[in-house]
Amino acid sequence: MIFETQGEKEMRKKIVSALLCGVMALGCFTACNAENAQKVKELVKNTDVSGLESVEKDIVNSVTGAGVVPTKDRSGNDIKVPSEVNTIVSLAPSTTRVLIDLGLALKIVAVDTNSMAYKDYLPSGVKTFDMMNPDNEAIAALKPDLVFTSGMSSVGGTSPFKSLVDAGICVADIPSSASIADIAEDLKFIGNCTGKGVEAVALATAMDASFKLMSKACESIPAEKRKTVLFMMNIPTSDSPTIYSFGSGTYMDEMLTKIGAKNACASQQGWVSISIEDAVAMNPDVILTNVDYVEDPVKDIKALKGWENVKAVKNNEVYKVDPNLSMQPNNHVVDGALEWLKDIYPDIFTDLSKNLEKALKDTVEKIKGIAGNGTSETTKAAA
Amino acid sequence: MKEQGVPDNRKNNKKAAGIGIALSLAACLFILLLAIRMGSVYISIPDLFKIIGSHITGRPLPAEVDPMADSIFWTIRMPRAITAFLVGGALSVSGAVMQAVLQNPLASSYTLGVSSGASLGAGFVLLCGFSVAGIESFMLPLAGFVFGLLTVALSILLASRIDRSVSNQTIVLIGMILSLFVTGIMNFMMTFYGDRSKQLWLWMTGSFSARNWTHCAILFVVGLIGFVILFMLSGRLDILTFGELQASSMGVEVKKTKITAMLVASLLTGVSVAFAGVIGFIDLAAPHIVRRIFGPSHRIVIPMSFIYGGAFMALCDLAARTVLSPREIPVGAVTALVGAPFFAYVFFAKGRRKV
Repeated sequence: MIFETQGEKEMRKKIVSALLCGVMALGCFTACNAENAQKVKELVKNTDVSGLESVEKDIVNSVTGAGVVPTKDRSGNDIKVPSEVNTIVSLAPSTTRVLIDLGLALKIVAVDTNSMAYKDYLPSGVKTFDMMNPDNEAIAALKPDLVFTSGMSSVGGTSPFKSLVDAGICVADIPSSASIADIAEDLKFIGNCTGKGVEAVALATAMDASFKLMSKACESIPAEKRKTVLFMMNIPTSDSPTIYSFGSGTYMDEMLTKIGAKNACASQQGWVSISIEDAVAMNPDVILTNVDYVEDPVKDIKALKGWENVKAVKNNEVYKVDPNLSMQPNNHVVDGALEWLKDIYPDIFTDLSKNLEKALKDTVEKIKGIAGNGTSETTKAAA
Repeated sequence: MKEQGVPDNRKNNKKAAGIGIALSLAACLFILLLAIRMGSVYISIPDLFKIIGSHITGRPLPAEVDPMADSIFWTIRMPRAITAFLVGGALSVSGAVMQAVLQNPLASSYTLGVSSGASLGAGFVLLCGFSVAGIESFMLPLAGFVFGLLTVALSILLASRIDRSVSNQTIVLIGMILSLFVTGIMNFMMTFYGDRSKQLWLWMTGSFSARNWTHCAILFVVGLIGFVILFMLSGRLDILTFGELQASSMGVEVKKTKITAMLVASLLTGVSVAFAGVIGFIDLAAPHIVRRIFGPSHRIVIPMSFIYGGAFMALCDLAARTVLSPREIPVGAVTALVGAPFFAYVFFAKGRRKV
């Protein structure tokens, strides 16, 4: 969130925390069976906070399977997670961010170089490794309890971390997820590996609930007003003329669908490269770009030769978005989708924020009511 | 491009060649028109001419023509198709001349290190981020061009130092050694900047996408100069193909002709590589096909290589951008995939060959 104003940042934070609180205090309970719900109601009535906490965890665990230490990683490899995880190596920025969100920042001993985007949250002496070319010896020397890797690192089916596994270190692979549902599973997996299962479920449920809210708000957009969006991950030049974007079967395509927009590349599958001519012929209503290697990507895109008659350029609907939000498959894709929504359908975004502000106030009141003067550990973690 | 028939009778030679040339020109124009017309968006021929007409005369576009079509055709597709044509032509002329000069059917400027030199130059710019204010977008082509030519110049210089008569074997060997050496330097550089290798790879496999009229203009001017010089040398090239000894006994300054021809041919390849990346095969195949059809005289081989190479390249680029649309296939892959079987057919179909 480098370029947004402080106000917007606060807004988004509020929205997310409202959803988190709401989900933790209320949302999960609705998912439970009637008997549990009754029990919870009684506890709430008696403002029995510690009792509530235990039930909450139990219910969450029983409903979602949180707290069960996984025996297979997200790639399906057998893993043996140590009973206590105190030192973690994270070799993907999306995982690093989740660990920070789960309150595990201080347990991180090493990250990949891209994760240094979050260095403000990481311990000062944290080591860094090249994701594509990891130094297994140095990683092993740190004797971490757990190493999170991303599918990115594996080349031609062979894990470059094989020697770490052979050295008896638990390596948990999380390949880049293709859907929002998979992202939720990733979150729970990370939580369950690190003893933060409940918190991870909270993050996942909050993400889900936020998307539901957004798609509900966008439901009413009539078909003819739905905008076609071209997402550009680079600006074409004569030296590298291909445009990189995503087609269907990606979580980013799902994000666009959830906010009532149409992906210009939807006819393609997965991550796609398209030619300039085709991009222009798609004639998108909106262009989003996550390019951050030039000073003003919006200006550069508008200046592209031959693009003058593309609707997005003609109508000034080219926007820069935060790459750290949407490009990393974790719970922050919600923030990314909100940011896109603000650009694509600003009116709906404004309405939604107002509603959320109200929801936030209500939830805070409710939580105050439940917790009395004391604060529950889970709410704290969630907030 | 169909084979236009090989005239055997000497009397009819000139007439047949004339018909062949006319047919080839017509086919070439047709292919160019096809290349401009086909793509993700179709256009009617009248609209196409209206767009071209409005840009040439400077009159505003007629209201019935979609301005989007204008952007796509005039700004994106036409310069691309014409660049492809010019590059194909320049590469083929260069190949024809190199084959004649070195008396080697497999010789090309690439043999002398143009491509590896250009790649090194491009790699240098990409990896070091070296740039000159004002011409940032032309840094890669410029570096590719300069390094490509420098490598060839170095090849020729070394060859003439080692071997005073500058024999063909020496040139080819030195060129290959230098190529490998330069590629080695580049691979060495890549170890330090692995993350940029994709970009360099893309540049090297070649593409005509995102070419604009500036590219066309530069290519046209350089291409024209090179073409005229080589065309003027065609008589001497004819004599050279009989062998260097005969040529010098017939009064041709062998060394001077060879070096001039090689440098100009490399200039053509250099500018092509600079604007389109390393596209192989066309410089090898087009001249051979032309010789099969029109015979060995360079007065015809050189211009016809330009026409055939250009048309073939425009066709390959058309395939590259339409077959898997909206994805693009590297055009170098298309030239080889389409060209190799075609070349084999033309070359071996009648069991006759002439180099």
